[in-house]
Amino acid sequence: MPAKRRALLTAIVIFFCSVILFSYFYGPTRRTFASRTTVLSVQSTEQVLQAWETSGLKGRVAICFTRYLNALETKESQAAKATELAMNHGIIRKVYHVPPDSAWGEIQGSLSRRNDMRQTPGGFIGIFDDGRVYITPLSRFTPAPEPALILVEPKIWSRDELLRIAELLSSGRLAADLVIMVRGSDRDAELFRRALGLQ
Amino acid sequence: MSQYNWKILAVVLVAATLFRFWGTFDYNGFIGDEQLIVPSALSLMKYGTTMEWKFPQMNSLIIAGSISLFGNNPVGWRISGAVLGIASVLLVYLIARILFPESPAPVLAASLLAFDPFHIHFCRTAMIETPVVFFFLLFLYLMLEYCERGRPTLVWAGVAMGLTIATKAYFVFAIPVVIAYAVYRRLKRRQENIGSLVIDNAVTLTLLPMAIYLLSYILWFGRGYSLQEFFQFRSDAYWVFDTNYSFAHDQILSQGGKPWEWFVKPISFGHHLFNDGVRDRFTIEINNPLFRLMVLPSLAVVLVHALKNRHINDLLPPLLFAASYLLFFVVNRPFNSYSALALLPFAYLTLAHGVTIVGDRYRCTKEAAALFLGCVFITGTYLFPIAAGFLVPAKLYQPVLSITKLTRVF
Repeated sequence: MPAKRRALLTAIVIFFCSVILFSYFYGPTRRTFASRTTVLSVQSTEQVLQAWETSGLKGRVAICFTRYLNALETKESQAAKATELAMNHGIIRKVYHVPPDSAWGEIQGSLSRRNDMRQTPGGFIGIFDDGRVYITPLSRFTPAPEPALILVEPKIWSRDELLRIAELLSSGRLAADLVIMVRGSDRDAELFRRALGLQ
Repeated sequence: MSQYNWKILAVVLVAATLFRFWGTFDYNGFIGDEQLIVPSALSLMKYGTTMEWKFPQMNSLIIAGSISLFGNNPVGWRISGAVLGIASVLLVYLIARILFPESPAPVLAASLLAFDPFHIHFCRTAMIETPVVFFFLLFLYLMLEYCERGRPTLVWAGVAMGLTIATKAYFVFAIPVVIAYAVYRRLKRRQENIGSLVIDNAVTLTLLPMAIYLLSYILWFGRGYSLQEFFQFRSDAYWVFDTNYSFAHDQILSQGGKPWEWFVKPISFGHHLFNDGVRDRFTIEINNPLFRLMVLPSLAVVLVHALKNRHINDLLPPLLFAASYLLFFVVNRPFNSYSALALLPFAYLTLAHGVTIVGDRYRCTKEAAALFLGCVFITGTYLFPIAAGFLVPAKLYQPVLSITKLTRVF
């Protein structure tokens, strides 16, 4: 093989490998995390987006322990918009929507009729913009392997279920740097602060 | 090339420039798909993702680049389409000159594209089709330089191929045809070792395009996504196209005709924008019936000629036309008529060659080419004002308007 041709082919292979390595490492380095964990209480879903935007966090996973989200026939359009806008603005790149098991039958019935949802053993996968929304009931939820932005709507959960979510945090199986309680009581906020070791 | 050909080419390029620039930036609102394409480019600049996330991002990067240079205004939105449209005319000429040297076909093919009202109409707006056709023509030209003239252009062809697949997937079947043709020609002409030829092509035309495709998503990766999520993202896009794609404007879709109709019947539709009692303004998407309807017969002429004379280079434009067309019949989604832009260069290369074959057959090549060229110039100049939205006396266009489905918007 002539030296010039060998050098050219080697340069192409090196260029390709560099691009692969760059693609592998670049995205994760662009994610921003908070230096300390915060639990916020908000009274309206409009404040959720505001809280996410002012946090300065980017490229994150969100876990929404809520009843409605964009992927559903939502009654809370503002909450839906908060998630969609946060995904569009690059704050969130992936969402796990975890509704209560008691509502799962109704949700499953509604989603299985939609052709923009893919059924999986765990639940459903929907797509917002360029990111995925995984919809799965609490009993089948497997925590994300990286610190997440957590949204909890306490009023839709039983006390036992709330304790179970809090236990995911306190045991370290679910890591979080921003927990937002939507229309929760002081007692609920306190439960999550304790779970995260914040006093 | 004779001085005569140079002069005609110069006239064709001047006309192509005039038709694609004159008045292009006057209208300050969005035209057609610009309402998606421009906000997608702005979204890419601001958030690293496009509204049309299902498509590759290269076109949005180009529009974002021109907006950065010229501002968020009609110049920033449309200049890349106009420039790449003119460059496509030049590339069609250069490709035809390699395939059909010493023939009037290069000038005829370039003229057909330069004066085509359909191509002009879309080069004057921001579209995905204009850059993807340009990049593929560039890839084809560089591959022909590599295989027919032995020039060291393979690496640049790999770059152009990467830019093509990073813009839109129109040429997924045509790209292998070009590569197979180039390998075959290179083996035939230069007696090269097949092993080294396959290695060169495999490395250059696989790794380089893949790297460029990945790099075109650099802003998307900047949103925090990993390489694994990239593969999920592209498979999600494929899933949406395959199972869940719907086109918002059914009326435009039906007016533009189904893909099989694009070269077999006249298609003309558009908007009637203005009338002051004397003059009218239209923007009409017309498939240039006089020439489009000659494409399939010329395809037959070229195929018979190529098989009879065993001219492999004659086969390339018809093969590329067929390979590009195939996509529209195997993909499970509707296609707008502007997708026919991806077929035009090969349709017109075939037609131009068909005209020269017929001229040769009757020993009147120069006369046939001159007559054909005159028809192209006259038809294109006549149709240009209604394709580009200029004020015209409607009476003058009655023959065209009588077959045009018009939507009145004033």
